[in-house]
Amino acid sequence: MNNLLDRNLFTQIGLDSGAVTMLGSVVHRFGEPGEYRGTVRSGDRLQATFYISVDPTCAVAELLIDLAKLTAPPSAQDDCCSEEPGKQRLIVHPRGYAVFHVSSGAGGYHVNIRRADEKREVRAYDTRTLQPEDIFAGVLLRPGTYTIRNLLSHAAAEAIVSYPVSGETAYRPPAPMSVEVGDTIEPRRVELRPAQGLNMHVKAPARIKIELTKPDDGPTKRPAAGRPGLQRHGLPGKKE
Amino acid sequence: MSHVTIAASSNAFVQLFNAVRSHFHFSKSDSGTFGPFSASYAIAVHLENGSLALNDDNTIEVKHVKIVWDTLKVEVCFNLPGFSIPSFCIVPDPWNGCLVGFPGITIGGPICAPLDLSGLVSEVSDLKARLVPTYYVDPARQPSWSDLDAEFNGHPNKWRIFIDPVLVHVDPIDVPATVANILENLVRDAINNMFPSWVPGWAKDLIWALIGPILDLVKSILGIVGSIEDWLSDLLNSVFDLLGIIETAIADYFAAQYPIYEFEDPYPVLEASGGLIPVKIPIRNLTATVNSKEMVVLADVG
Repeated sequence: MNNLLDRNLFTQIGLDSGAVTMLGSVVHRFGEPGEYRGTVRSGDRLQATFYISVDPTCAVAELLIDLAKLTAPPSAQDDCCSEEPGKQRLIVHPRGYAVFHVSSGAGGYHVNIRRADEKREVRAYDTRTLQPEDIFAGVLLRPGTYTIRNLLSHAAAEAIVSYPVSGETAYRPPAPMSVEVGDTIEPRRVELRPAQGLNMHVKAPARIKIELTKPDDGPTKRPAAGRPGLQRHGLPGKKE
Repeated sequence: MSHVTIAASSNAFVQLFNAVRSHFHFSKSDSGTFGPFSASYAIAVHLENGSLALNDDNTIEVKHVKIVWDTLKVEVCFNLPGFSIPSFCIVPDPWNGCLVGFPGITIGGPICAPLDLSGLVSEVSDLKARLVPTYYVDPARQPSWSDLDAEFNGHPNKWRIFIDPVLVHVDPIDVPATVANILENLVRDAINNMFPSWVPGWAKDLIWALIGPILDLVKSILGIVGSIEDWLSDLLNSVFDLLGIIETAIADYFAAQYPIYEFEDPYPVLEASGGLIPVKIPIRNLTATVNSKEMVVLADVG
């Protein structure tokens, strides 16, 4: 299990739309058909380059762009035979959505995309400044109280993640909650179950940052992980 | 008319049989992969008790011989996909459900549950057999040796009488219902042991909540419809075919490995003494039968 239990899931508390990690994804719609060139950066460091064809003749409505795979060494990438490893061509419909996500590792990436023909009137897109109609989708695992802030407008809200409780059936998070982020954040307070999705719809330029302000470590005395009343039983006539 | 007649009463025959039965020991191990899981086993058994009857139709019938499973260890391994942070919909599609979804994150891994069922007892419910004499030539005997050379070197030929089963019926291993609790605890321990030390308490609680009741999860992964004990019983008895393996081992043992009675050929009548060589008579045309009172061995000299 160790190889599949990514430490970052449980040690990276909080989300930042300008530094995408496993628990947060940026969803962007291009709108304008054309050829785009994108770069993936971690801080100021260029990590990977990719190309997107925004093509009205294609039917791709959802383009998942795994920034972890894009930035992985060529030997670790699926596209073994591309002419230039790491520089991959992707395709999506102008009204489709590109989802920038991180499947593993520490992440912390932001993406910059500009048109290949370098039209001056078309501004480059940078995930550090989300645009209206963008969506920042995230999951908060750690129970506690968080602040949701738009660093560009200084709007703020509160999110409360309840403590997980084992029940008679396996816990499945409820449907995601939605908030609107712009000059204000609505609603001002959201109550979430652990691992419940949070879709933040951008209404004005935003960089969304979610930070833990008060952790909830659950009941002082945790119940046993198993069902109540469970006891060990040995086989008849056999000493354990 | 035969030259030699040897008889053993039914009581004497029972004593001979008990010695053969008590000498039986069998062990084996194996493993296999069965779709969503793999399993391995290690067994060691011996036989105890049983009732024996000699019949007038020249058959021997043995019932209720206990099979004592000195070792019965089964290890079941499977991938645990239960720690899944489910995906959710970001942009709904009014016609097809979801247009854009948050990618789910699966955090599982392989785990193994070593079940130790040693000490269980099952039964050879029925064994029917006839006596079969076979002539044994010691493989260590040199071709140039005479019968006397073979005796002096400790490698004489022998007549051996085996119990040759025509039917062996072994009852299925009856796995106790408590095995479900044992498996549940083993899986829980395996999961707990696999948490790295850095995993915080709240994360463990979240993972346990996502996993849910362990037995439900195990049944779902392994595709178990009924009870755990029935599934394990089927795995051992039918899938690994331990019933067939034990039946074959018992039949092979009685029929060819451990004779109920044996004696040298030529048979020594007088020991060597006073410078004289021993007196031995060759035995031919040996037959062994039973009736309800005794075992009868007939043979010719010549």
